[in-house]
Amino acid sequence: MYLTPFQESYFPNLHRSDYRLTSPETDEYNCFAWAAHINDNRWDPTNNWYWPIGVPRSVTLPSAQAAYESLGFELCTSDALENGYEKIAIYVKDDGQLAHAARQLANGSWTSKLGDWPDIEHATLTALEGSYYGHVEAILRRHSDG
Amino acid sequence: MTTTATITSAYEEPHISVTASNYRNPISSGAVVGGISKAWLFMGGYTSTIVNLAPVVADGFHRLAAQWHDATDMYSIDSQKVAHPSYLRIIAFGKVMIPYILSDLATRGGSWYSALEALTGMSPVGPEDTANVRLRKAAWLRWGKTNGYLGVGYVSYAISGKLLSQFAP
Repeated sequence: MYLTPFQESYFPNLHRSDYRLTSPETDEYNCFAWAAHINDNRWDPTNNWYWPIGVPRSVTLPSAQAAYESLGFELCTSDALENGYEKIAIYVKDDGQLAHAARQLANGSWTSKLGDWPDIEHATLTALEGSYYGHVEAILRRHSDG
Repeated sequence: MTTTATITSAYEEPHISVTASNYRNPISSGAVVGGISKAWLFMGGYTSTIVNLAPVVADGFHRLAAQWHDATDMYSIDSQKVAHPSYLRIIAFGKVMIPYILSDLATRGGSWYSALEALTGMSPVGPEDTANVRLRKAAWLRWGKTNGYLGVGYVSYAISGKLLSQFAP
């Protein structure tokens, strides 16, 4: 199962050999919630959606980083699979706006909720980089029993 | 000449009563039968045209909503979704869009909450429910049903160029 060709057109680095659909479409959670294992609510620093208590609400990397730090994550330097650690990658657009988050799975691939579109499992972080999600600007990790 | 209209029956075939407040033969009536149709009201020699705008408004909404969904559904942050020109154009249409927005919210979902708040000037969502997507959606859909925007006919008409929108009981 794959995204529609229309949806795929937004991610020119996403190739069918490197991803698969893992959920239906829903607006009931988004990428920032999904990266935190939440699939019944949205995490969004705008419009009074849920955002971790005490974390400044802004559409920026520091705000997202602080949100995940509140869950025990800390900055790291590598997106490689590390035994005993769970990782989150944060994407930022060229204009500095926060865009997306992906969570690493135990097999080393990544899981992403694409806005209101489905979840996908993708082999690489670069698969979602481009004009819509920007580029990975930070990798965070926590002990996998976190 | 001041013209007001009251639409008193269900969508598709509403019965329309029109009064011209300063006209000597003020009351006339007509029926509009589905689609883009016209009822000619003869009031002592004065002819007014009533145009059923419902199909036009619906088409406009669905076109703009499709553009908006296509362009922003891949985003996860509301402020990036609601800044899209098609979303802003839907708001600019005014309250006539409310039933269409609620219907889209119910069937397809999406971040319609800013538009609904802008068009109604209020929110039916309790402060403790705002951060929960299911509760926020349920509150708006419940409000829509309670206030006649969902589940009953809703008609939009222009009379002599003036846009009127009414709930059908």
